[in-house]
Amino acid sequence: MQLGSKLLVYKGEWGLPSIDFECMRALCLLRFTRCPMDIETNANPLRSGAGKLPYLQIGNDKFIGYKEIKRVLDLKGYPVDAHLNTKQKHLSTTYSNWVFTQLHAYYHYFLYGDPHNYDTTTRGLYAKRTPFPFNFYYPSTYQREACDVVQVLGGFDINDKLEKHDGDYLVVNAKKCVNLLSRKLGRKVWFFGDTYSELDAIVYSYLAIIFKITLPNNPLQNHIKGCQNLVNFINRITKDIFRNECYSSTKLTKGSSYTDSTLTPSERKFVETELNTKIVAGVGAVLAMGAFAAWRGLYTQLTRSSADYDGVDYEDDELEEVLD
Amino acid sequence: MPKSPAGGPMPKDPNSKYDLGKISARVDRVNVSGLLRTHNDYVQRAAEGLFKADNFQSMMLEAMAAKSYLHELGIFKDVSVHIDISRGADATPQGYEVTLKGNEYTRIMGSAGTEIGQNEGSLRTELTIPNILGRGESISLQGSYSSSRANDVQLKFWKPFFHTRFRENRPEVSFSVFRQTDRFNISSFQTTNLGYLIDFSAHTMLGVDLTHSLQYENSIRDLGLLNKSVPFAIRDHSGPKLASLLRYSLVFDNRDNNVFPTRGIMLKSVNEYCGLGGNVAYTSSMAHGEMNVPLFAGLVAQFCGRVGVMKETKKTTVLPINNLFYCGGPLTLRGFEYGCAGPVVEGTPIGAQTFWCTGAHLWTPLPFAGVFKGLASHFRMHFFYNMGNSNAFTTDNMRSAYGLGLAIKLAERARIELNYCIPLSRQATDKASNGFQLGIGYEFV
Amino acid sequence: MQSSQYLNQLHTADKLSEEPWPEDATLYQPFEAEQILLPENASCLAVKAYLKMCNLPFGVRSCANAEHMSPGGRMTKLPFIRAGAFIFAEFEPIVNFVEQKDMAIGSWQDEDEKADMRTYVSLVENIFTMAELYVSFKNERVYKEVTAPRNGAVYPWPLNLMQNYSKRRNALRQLKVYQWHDLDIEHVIEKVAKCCETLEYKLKESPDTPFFFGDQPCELDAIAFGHLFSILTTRLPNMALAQTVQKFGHLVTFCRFIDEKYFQMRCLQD
Repeated sequence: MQLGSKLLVYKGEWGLPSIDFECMRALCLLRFTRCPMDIETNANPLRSGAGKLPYLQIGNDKFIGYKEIKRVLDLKGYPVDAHLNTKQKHLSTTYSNWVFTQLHAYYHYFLYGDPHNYDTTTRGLYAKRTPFPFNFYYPSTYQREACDVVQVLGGFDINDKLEKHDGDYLVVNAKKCVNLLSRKLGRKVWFFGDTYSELDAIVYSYLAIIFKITLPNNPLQNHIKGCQNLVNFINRITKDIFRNECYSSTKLTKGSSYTDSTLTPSERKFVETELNTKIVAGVGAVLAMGAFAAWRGLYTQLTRSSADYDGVDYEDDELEEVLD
Repeated sequence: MPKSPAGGPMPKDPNSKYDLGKISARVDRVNVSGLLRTHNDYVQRAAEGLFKADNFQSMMLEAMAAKSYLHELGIFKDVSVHIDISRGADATPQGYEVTLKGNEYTRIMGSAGTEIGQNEGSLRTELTIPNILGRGESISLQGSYSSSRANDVQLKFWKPFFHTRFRENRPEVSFSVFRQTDRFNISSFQTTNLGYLIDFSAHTMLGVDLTHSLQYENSIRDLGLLNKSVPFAIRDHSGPKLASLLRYSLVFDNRDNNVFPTRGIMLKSVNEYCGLGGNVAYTSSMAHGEMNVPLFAGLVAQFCGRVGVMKETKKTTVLPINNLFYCGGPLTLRGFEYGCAGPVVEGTPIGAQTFWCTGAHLWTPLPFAGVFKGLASHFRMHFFYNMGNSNAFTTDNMRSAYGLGLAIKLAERARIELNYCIPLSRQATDKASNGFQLGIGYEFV
Repeated sequence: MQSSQYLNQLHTADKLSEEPWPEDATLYQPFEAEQILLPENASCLAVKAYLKMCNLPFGVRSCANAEHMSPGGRMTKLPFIRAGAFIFAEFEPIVNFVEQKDMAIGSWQDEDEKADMRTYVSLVENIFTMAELYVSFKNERVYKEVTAPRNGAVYPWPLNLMQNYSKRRNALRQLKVYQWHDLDIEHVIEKVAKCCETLEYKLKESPDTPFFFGDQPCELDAIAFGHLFSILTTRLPNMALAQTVQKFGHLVTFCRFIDEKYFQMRCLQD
């Protein structure tokens, strides 16, 4: 592989290499096939050109998204299903597809669609990994995408009232899927025995995030806990394969007790960006207030000179229409 | 709608030294000031009556009439009248000069309020640009957002022709584009209507004062299901349809009050013919009547009735269920749940093709009403007896209920009723509600 | 609440599993001659094939608003079946419903084989439906000459434009969710070819039987037939999909065999 090529992903959390499903998939491809490529976990999603991670940088070429990355790796001689026999190759495709239909809607609904989960956890995760001021806008693009996913795969609209969310349907499907995967895995190391496959990458990416994420409402988490072989599968891949990329913010802050010297370089950078954000936000607020005051001052003078425009008057709490 | 002050001589005050009717007067000049954006010809007819006045009293009355006329034109926030002796070279001896000083509406008006619908509140906002072209033409944008995402939007343009020689007929033309969602919760479906409406309304004075309104509506009616287990009789109707219809409504109203009338009759009829293109066809007529008879000691007897008929036309393949009539509920047949006194399909109420219902009320002021004078005018008590039926103009299988309740007047237009209802006769499939029932609306039976 | 309603429905479905298959079961679909689109036709044919394989009687009713009457689904929402008090839309829920009645084919399969088969079904359904949607709505010529006129055929004038617009928007959203929206036609063909390859490999695993799994039909036979046969027999301005499927001789033979055995439509050319 060409020198200087690297994969850029979101930084992880809860001991995982990344917080995002697509990034995890791409990381798995890279690490499973032992493709010698650098991994940059502190990437800026706005540099990718599509506003999204992951992307692969080879020289000046950018390959955005899992599909492109997989195609590049296949071309460069690192196909993920290379060591499987023909039957297993076909099964790997069919199972990957099936897992996608069963888990994709669950993942999107409970990470981005459920309003409480999104506000308390997911929004913050993505916002912290995006530079100011895009962090205010950027996580909502994920929510919009989830809206489409849930509409198509789940059959309801996440902007609707909460009572209309048909989450049970997604949970039942996801649980069935986990049960079948647990049975299929058995005591094997990988789903197809001794060799990894795309199915392993996809199952690991979905389940590791759903299993490790700390959401207020995540019914599948306990269900996965009940399938010991899947838990082992997740932990083994996390420990053995992603030793260098794993990251957890809580562990570090506990140990360091907020002294700057004990922070890792990446952590320090993280704190700094937060400080920058605060300063910029403060300056922005002061400017906005000043501008508003100036405008008000100007505005009162203007209205004095012309009696033409009286603004808008409001009548409140007036009982107007009474439908039956 | 403000009425012009009653003509005829003012009651004579015996202590008064002067009879204003005998003082001759002549209006020399009429000024209308405060016209910034309005064209002069739009207000010209305000002066017509004033010049006809020949004594002081009729001049005063005409001045008040002119003031209320200017209000009706819909361009002024408030109008004040100044009468002065006319001065100048061409002033006559008994000459007066009348100045009507108006204060025009601002260019943009906004309002926000709450609206009470069926079991849910909604926020309504309105933005109006009055008098854009200088002759009363206005545009308004109205939106309402309710808790269940049933958002209604309406953009309306209207132009009154009060300034023409048909002033007495009060003609008005309007054009509106709307998107409106109606939820039929009991039948588990909702319709989203998107379309436009052209409306022409006028009064005729041939003996009685009638309000006519002729509308043409062209809209797409998308019927959606509200849950997964909807009976097939309703499911069959889902999907969008194009409706093109003419609607003619006629109102006669000589009651002395909209909410708690003591005397007078109100008659209203709405007729629809649908099928001028599009793929929905039906005819539908609805009539509503109300008669009030004052009795002794502030008691009022009220008789109401309502009839609706919907029929196929030659082009009809299937009647649209969203236009069927629902009978039952606090506004029609008290003592039944909303829409639950009619035909039922697989346990789900569905509208009826014909229905009738009548009501007899005895309205009384509250006891000790004399003690709280101002407040008591907002409250009434009533005893009622309701009868009605769906899909049959007979009294067999009739539904009826009686009870008593308290009614409150809201904003001179609507009324809230809290009734204790006792259903007398009902059908097996009806859902009666024996006990307290709350109703809010304009038009009750 | 809708979610609990779903569970209730599941629950009652369990309770009623002993009841026999209703005689008046009806399959609802759009008008075949002038309205139905390629993806809808494929899924309707798949369900019909499945019910015929199970030897269950059913009537077919065509109505213009079949899609709007459907209780919903993740693909085309069609067809839907009304069996007694129950309504189920699309292939998988209908198959689940039939299985609860113990009248389903494929009960001879063991758990592992069944799991494998399910994943094949999901692959076939996803890949072919997406490819059909792609050709119907993303290929400008097919959309203008076939999809739009057919979809709008049952509506009067201004309404047909709006219905076409919303149908296309929904189709593009579906393609986006399944991550097909940024593919070009070569990649679509590649995906379809790969899926056909998988199917042909599976078919060749048991060379002496005409079916995918052993000597009896199963769900995979029904859904593969529905999609392959529809693609092969539907005439479009762009026949790229049909040409791709045509390259797999075993699959064409398979289609001809199923058609002969259950339908006798015989519109597949040699």
